[in-house]
Amino acid sequence: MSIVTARRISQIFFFLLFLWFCIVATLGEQWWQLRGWPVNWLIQLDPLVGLGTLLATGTLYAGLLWGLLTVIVTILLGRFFCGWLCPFGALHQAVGWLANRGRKASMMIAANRYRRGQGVKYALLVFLLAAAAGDLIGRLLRVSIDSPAKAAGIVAVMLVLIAGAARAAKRSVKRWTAGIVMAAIGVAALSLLTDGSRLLAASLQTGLLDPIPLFYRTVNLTLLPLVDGRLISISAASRLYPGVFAMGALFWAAVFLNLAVPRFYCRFVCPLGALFGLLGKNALWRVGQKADGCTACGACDRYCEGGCEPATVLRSPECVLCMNCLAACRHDVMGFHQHASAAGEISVPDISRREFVATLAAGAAAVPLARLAGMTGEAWNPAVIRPPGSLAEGEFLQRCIKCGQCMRICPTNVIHPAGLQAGIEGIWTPVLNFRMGTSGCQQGCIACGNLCPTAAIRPIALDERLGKGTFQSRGPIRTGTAFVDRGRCLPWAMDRPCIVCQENCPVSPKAIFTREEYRPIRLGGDIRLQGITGNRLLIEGPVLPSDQLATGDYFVAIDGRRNIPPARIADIGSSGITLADNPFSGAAEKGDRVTLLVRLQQPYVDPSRCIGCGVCEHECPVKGRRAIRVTAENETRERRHRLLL
Amino acid sequence: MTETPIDRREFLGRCTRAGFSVAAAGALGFGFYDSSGPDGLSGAGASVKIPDFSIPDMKGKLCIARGTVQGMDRAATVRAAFEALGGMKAFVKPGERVLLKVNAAFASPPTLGATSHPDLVAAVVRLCLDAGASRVTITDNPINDPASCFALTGIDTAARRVGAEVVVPREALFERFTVAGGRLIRDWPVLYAPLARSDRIIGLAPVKDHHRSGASMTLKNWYGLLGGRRNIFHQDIHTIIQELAMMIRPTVVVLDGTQSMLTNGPTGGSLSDLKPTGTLIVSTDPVAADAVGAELLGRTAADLPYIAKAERVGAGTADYRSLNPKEIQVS
Amino acid sequence: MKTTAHKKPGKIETRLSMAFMAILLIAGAGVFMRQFRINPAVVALRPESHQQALPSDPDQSAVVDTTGSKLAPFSPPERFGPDTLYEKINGRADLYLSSGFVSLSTQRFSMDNAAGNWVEVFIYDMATPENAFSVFSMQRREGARADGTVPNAYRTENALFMAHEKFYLEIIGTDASDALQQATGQLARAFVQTHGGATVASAPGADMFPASGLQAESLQLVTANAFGYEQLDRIYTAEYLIDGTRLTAFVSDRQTAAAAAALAAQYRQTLVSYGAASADAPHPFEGAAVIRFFDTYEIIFSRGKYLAGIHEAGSLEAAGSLAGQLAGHLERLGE
Repeated sequence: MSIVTARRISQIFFFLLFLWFCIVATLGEQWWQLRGWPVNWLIQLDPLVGLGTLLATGTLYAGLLWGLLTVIVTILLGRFFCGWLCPFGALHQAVGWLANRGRKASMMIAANRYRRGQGVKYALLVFLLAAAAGDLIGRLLRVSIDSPAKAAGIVAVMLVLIAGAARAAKRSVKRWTAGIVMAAIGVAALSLLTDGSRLLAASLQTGLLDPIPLFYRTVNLTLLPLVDGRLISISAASRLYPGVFAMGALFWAAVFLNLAVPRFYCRFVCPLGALFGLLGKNALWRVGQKADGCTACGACDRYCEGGCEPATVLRSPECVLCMNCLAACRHDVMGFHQHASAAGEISVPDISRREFVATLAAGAAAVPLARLAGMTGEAWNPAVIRPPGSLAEGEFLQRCIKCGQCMRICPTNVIHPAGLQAGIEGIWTPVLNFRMGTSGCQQGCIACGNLCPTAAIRPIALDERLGKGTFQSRGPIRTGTAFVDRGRCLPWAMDRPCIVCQENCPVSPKAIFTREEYRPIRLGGDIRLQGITGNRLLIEGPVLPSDQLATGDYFVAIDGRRNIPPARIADIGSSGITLADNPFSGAAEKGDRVTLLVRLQQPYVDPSRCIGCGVCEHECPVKGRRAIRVTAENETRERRHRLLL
Repeated sequence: MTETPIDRREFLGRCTRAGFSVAAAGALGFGFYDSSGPDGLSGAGASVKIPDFSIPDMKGKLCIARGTVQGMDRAATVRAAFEALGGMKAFVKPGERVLLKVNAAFASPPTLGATSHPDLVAAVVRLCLDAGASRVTITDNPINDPASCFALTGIDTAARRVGAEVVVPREALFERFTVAGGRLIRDWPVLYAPLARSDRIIGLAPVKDHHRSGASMTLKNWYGLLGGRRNIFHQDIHTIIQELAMMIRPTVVVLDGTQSMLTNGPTGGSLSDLKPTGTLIVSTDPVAADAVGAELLGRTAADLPYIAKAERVGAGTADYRSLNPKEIQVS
Repeated sequence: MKTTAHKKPGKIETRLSMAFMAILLIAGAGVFMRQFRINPAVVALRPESHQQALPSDPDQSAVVDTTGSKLAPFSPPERFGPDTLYEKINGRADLYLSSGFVSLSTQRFSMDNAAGNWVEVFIYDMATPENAFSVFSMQRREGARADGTVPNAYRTENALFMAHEKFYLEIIGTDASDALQQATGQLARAFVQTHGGATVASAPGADMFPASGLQAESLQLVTANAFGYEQLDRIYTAEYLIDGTRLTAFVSDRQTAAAAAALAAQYRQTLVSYGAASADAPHPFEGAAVIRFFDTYEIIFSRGKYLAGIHEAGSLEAAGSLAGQLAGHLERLGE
C-alpha cells in the first residue's frame, strides 16, 4: 500500500468521523444519538484550543490534554494533522482537486508556488494568542507596589533588564528575546504609572479561525439545519439560528477560494496550521530531496498541497505531509528522511521579527481596547443570557471557542450564536433566545455544559442545576429573571384574560403568580336590567358578544349594589344573561344599570423563585415582542448582576 | 546517499531540541492539567483583611460636649471634647497615619448639613497633625460624583488648607472583601487602599434623619467605604449597618450634632430640615455615639433597629450612660 | 486522482502504511468503545435521574400501592390543600373548592421506566361519597365509556375517571396505548382494593330512579345551587329518553316528608315569582304542579320524603308520563 493511499484513507476516515460526530450530537440513547460518542474528540485533538485556553486561563481542561498528543507527534514529524487528520483540510483538498482537474501541469505548478502571503497565518496566530495571553502577562507582572522601596527596586530591576536587552540587541543575539523583554518592560512601566488593571485582558478568539471549531460550527449551525428533514431527522424540531449568515459566508468563501489556490485556507489563513509550522521546526523526519538525481521536472510541485516548493528550496513549515511529491517523483529523489532536503530547506516560518512584534503588540492591545466598551463590567448587556452553568462573562470569554456544540445539542434550540450583542469579543458565543426554539431552557437538562469542550459552560450535575442535595444552600442555577411588560401584557394592558405564563412556569412553587382584578368591559351602550328569573338576568341594551362572554372570565355587577360580589356569566342567550350563581335575586330592580366585568389575573414575577428559564417568554401569546421577557438580571454566574440580597 | 558529519551534527541538534520541545509541551500539558474545570464561584479567592483600628485601653470612652445652641464653634468644641478624653495624643501616636472617613455623600453646600462640616474636618485634621500624625488622609465614596462632592461640601478646600490629603475613590482603590460571619458583605468591593495605608481611622458624621434606616450617624457613615452597586443593600438596611459595624472597628468617632437634620434625610436640601442641637459627641464606641445622636433626633436607640443589631455583634453598647460619659459645656 | 508516477510502493512504505491503518482501526475501536460510556447529559434525561433527586423520605409512600406490579412511582407524591389546589389544576379548582374539597394527592407512575410514558394519578379527597360522586358526575367527559372492571368509573381514550367512597380519582395516561390503559385499570383496582374493596361502591342515589328509559351513566349529583336556585341542594338528576324526547328527572332525598313538600312548594313559588305561570294543562296526577316557564315545562311534586320532578321539558306529554313513572317508583321506595 502506498503512503498516499494510506493518507487518503486516513483523511476519509477522519472526515467521516467528523460528520458522524456532527450528526450524532443530538440528545438520546439510540446508537445514532449522543449516547457516549466522543463528539468533542477532534476539538480536543486540536492543540490550538488547548493552548489558547491554557494561555487565557492558566489551566488545561480535562479532554484538551489530547492536544498534547498532536503536539508531540507534530514536533517529531511536522504538520501531519493538516494532511492526514484535519477534516477541514480534507474538504479543501477535495475541492482543490476538483478545481484542478484538467488543468495543465504548468498552471498547477504555478498555483502551488510559495507566496509571501502564506506568512499571514503566522501573524494571525500570534495576534490571536497574544489576545488570549493578556491575563497571563498580567499574572507574571503582578507585583503590588505599595511602598517607595518596592517601586525603587522594580525600577532598578527594569534598568538592569533594559541595559541587558540593549546589549543583547546590539549584538543581534536572540533578537526576539530582546524584543519580548523590551515589550514586557514597557508594559511593566505602564503598570507602574497606571492602575494596570485595564492594560491587560485576555479574550480567546482563536475559535474564529481555528479550523476545527470553525468547521463544527458551520456544519452544526448552517449545514445540518438545511438537510435536516423528512428522510433523515437529526433533531426533534427543525432548527433556526438567526444571524448565521456571516458564519456561512466565511465558510463558503474558504471553500471557493480553493478554485483560485488549492488549500487556500490552509496556506494563508489557518492559525492551527501556523502553530504546527512553528512546532515542526525541529521535526526529526522530513520530506525532501536526495542529494542527486533531480532533473528539475517540477512534477513534485504539481501536486504539492502545502505550497512548500519541494522542487527547489523547501519551506518545511508549509509542508502538510501529503506525500504527493513522493508519489509524483519519477526519479525517486523525493523521500522522507532524517536530513534536510538536499536542494535546501527553510525551516523557519516566514514571519519577520518586526511582523512578529507588531502582531504580538496588536493582539495584546486589541482586547483592552475591546474591553473599554465595558460589556464585561458596567455596560453589561442584559439581553446576553448565557446557558445555565456558564462562567462569569470575563472568564467565559477566556474559554469559549465558538464551536457551536452547545447550540447543536440544545434540545429546545434556544441556544443561539450571538451577533454583536455580547460585544465584538462575544461574536458567535452562545446566548439564549427564548423567542425561538420549541420551549424555554429545560429545567432537567444539563446538555450544553456537558458538551462544552472548554468548560466555558461548566459540566454541571442535575442536582446543581436544580439546587438539590449538596447544592441546596446555593439554590437552583438562574440564567436571568423574567419581567412582565405591562404595556404589552394582555391582562395588564388590554383587558383580555390570559394566564399562559403563570400556567407554564415550571418551577415549584411557581415563580409567576397572579392577582385578580375586575375591570368593566367596553360595550356600545348601557345595559339595563329588565327582570330576574332564576339564574337569568333579562336585560335591555346592546347586542353582547356571546362567545366571548361565556368563557367564564366575565362577570356581572349591578351598579349601586356594591356589597354584592360580581357574579360569573355562564351563558348569553336571547333571553338574557345566565349566571353561574345568582346573588342578585331580590337585591336588584328593574332599570338598574348592569356592568359587565372581565376578571383579569394579572401576572407578577417573584424574583426569588424565577430561574430565567424563559418558558414563559416562549409561551407568551404576544408573539412578536413578548409581553414577558427574560433578561440576565439576577443570573447566578455574575454576583454583580444579582437583584436580591 | 552519504551522510556528512555536518548532517549528523545537525540531526543530533534537532533531536535534542525536539526532545526538549516534547518535554516542555508535556510539562505544560500535565502541569496545568485541570480535570474538573472551574467551579463557577467567581472571585471567591482570598479576601483582603481590614485591621482592627481601635485602641484596647480606650474602650468605652464617651464625651458629650454641649455648646451654645446658636452658632456653636465646632473647632473649639471638638478640641475640648478630645481634651476631656485625654487629648488627641491618646488616640494618635506620633508618626501614625490617620484616615478620616468623612461624610461627603452629596454634592451639597455645608450649610445644608447633609455632609461633614469643613470646619470640623479641618479642626480634627489639625488635632491629628498636632498629635504627631505623619499623614492625614480624608476619603469617602459618595453617592454623587466624587470630585464635585468633595469640592462643593468645602471639605476639599478645608483639607488642603490644613495639609490633609483627599483620596477620591477610583476603581483601582477597591478590593473585594468578605466580612467574617457576614451575610451581605461577601466578596464585595470595599474602598480598601486608604484603609490599608492607615494606622488609625476616625469617623466623622453629622446627625441626620435617614429615610431607610431611620437615622444616619457614625455607623451608617461606613457605608461610604462600600463600592459596587451597593444600593442593593437598601433591601436590608439594618443588617448592612450591622455588618459595617463588624467590618470597621474605628479608633474614635466624632458625631456632629451642632445641628441635626430632622426631616427629609439623608439629603435634606432645605434649612428648615435642620434644627440647631448644639451637641458634639466624641466616642470610641460608635454604638453609644449613635444612641446619643438618636436622642438629638428626638428618638431613642430602640427606635433604630440597627443599633441593637450592632450591639449584638459586639460593636459597642446602646446604653451609653453605662459608659460614664464625660459631659462638658463649651461656651 | 492521478498523482502517482506508477511505481510500486517500497516495503517500508507499505509497512508504514499498514501500521497507520492499524492506528486508524484502534482509533475507530476506541471511539466505538467510548460511546458505551453514556454522557451525563443523556443520563440526566433518564427518569431515574429525576427520581434520584427526590427526597428519600420513608413517609412519602406512594399514593397507590403498586408493589408486585410492573408499575413504579416515578415522581414524588405531591399534596395540595384548598389554598394550593390552583397550583396544580388552575382554573378547574373552583368546582372542587365549592364541593367540599379537602385535599388532592398526585403522583406519576411509569412502566419499566420508559421515558416519556407515564400515568398520573389525581386523588381528590372530597370529604363525603356524595361530594365525590358529585364532582365525578358533573365533569363526565363526552365520548366516555363505562369501565367494566371497577364500579362508578368511566374511561376516555387515554384516561380513567372514578368515584370511590369519599374519593374522586383521575388516572391519566400520557398516551392511549394499550399498555398504559391497562396500567390505568391496574391503578384503579389497586386503589379500590386498599380502600374498602369493590363491594362498598355504588353510585349514591342510583336506586331513586326508575330503570325504564333511563340513559346509562347519566346520573348526576348537584350538591348545591341546582338549576341556579339557591334552595335546591343535594339534587340527583338523570337523563331519560321517553318517546324520542330527552327529559331530565330530578330527585332529592329530604329529611322528612314535610320538608320535601315544603321545598316543592317553595320551588314552585320561586319559579312563579320569576315570571313562570301555572300551565293550563291537566295535572298528570294528584299533588303535582305543572309550570310553564317560557317555552318549557317544569313538573314538581313530593312523594314521602322525596322531592322530585321533571326539569325544563320540551314536551308536556312525555314529561307527564315520566313524572307518573317516577312518582310510582318513589312511592314503592318509600314503603
